[in-house]
Amino acid sequence: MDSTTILAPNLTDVVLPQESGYPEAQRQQDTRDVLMSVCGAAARDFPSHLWLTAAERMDRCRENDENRLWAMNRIDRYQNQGPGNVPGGGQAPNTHECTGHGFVYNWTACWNKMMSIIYGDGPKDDFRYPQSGQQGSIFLSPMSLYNEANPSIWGGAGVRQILSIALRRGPLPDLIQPGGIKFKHAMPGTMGIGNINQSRGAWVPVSRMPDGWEETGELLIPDEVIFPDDWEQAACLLCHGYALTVGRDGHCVTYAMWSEQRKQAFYPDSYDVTRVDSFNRFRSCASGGYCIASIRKPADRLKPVPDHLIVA
Amino acid sequence: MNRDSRPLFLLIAAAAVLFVLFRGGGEKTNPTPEPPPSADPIYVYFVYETNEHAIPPHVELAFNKLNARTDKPQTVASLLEDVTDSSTPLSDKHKAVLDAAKEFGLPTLSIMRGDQIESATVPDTEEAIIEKVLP
Repeated sequence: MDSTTILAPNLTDVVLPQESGYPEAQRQQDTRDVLMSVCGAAARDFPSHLWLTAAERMDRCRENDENRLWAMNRIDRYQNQGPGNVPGGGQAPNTHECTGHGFVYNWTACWNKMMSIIYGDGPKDDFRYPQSGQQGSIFLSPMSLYNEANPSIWGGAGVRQILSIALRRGPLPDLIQPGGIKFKHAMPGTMGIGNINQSRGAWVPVSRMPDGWEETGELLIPDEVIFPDDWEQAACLLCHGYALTVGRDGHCVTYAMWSEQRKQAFYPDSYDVTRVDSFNRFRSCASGGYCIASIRKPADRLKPVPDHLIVA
Repeated sequence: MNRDSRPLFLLIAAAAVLFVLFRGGGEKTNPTPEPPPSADPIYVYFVYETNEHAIPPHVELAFNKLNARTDKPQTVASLLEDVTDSSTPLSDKHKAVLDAAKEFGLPTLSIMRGDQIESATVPDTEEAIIEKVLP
């Protein structure tokens, strides 16, 4: 898939029929100013040197398609917060964790960009890239942020809450890791169905997170977060290979590829599928989005935390 | 050369050929062993400041290729953002790379071989970056 791909109508401008975790009341409070203020010193205005004219964006789209340089090509797995039959019995619920999943997609795109690894086809259903384990990709747990944003489990959370928590104490790794690394402080990724790259499990409140989890969380905190002021700045960020997380129409999504020609933005949804938003929807929410531009960097990419935080 | 000295000449020539072959004069018969590849990876960084520098696509492509290599010495390429204005702690290795790069002037291609850090202007092409890392 690249930016010239035309997705089926049922994957375009999708407004989910079910609650996913971003009610209208939250959206109204997630203004750009509020989002920037919760990020404190990590907040960045759109850097002027990243500006691209429409013609330059067109060229950049071609270049990114040819070389697989989109944020989509840094994301090496889908996430799935949705319902489903659990193997072995039981039913996973439709969760309201979308703001957590949106953050994790954005974080993943930035982390793997920093590590300079390209996953040529982007996320694929029921597939794990061998490079993910070899090159230091980390699978994070959306639940590790959402559990503090909404301790009552149901009803969703604001983008500002997830950002605030992530910037203050960081997310935790998922129980599933591509390289087989076992973090001392890890959590189920979701209460939903998950997939081969995202663990599912029962709700874990903050009070029952693994002892000493703060030590791991602080190593995974974003260092810089950029806030575009309008849709063109947002499109420029996408063209530079960054991801953009927004809340819109009851759902939080992370755009990871842009078509300048068709003026539409693609996103890996947290339901094992890639979808696309047309221009009007993108324009309506882009200026309320955020882009993780850098993350604290480990001394060794294959050992992102010190030895004492890894289970032998 | 008279007819009587011809066998002697042939004998001397044959002896010379054998001497060269067994002494190691021919590469095919006795190649000079190459030094064992270093066990230490070569670390490569594009050092930049988010507020001032974009990450050029040819740098990203070169770095992806360097990371995909399986030959020795291993090459480990990544981005290193100047975090000196934040509260982010840096490892000693990255602090040394960042300090050297800032002294050189950002953005910089930094190459770390063992304890040696080389800071350089970022080459204009993907091939030139790889050539700079693996001359």
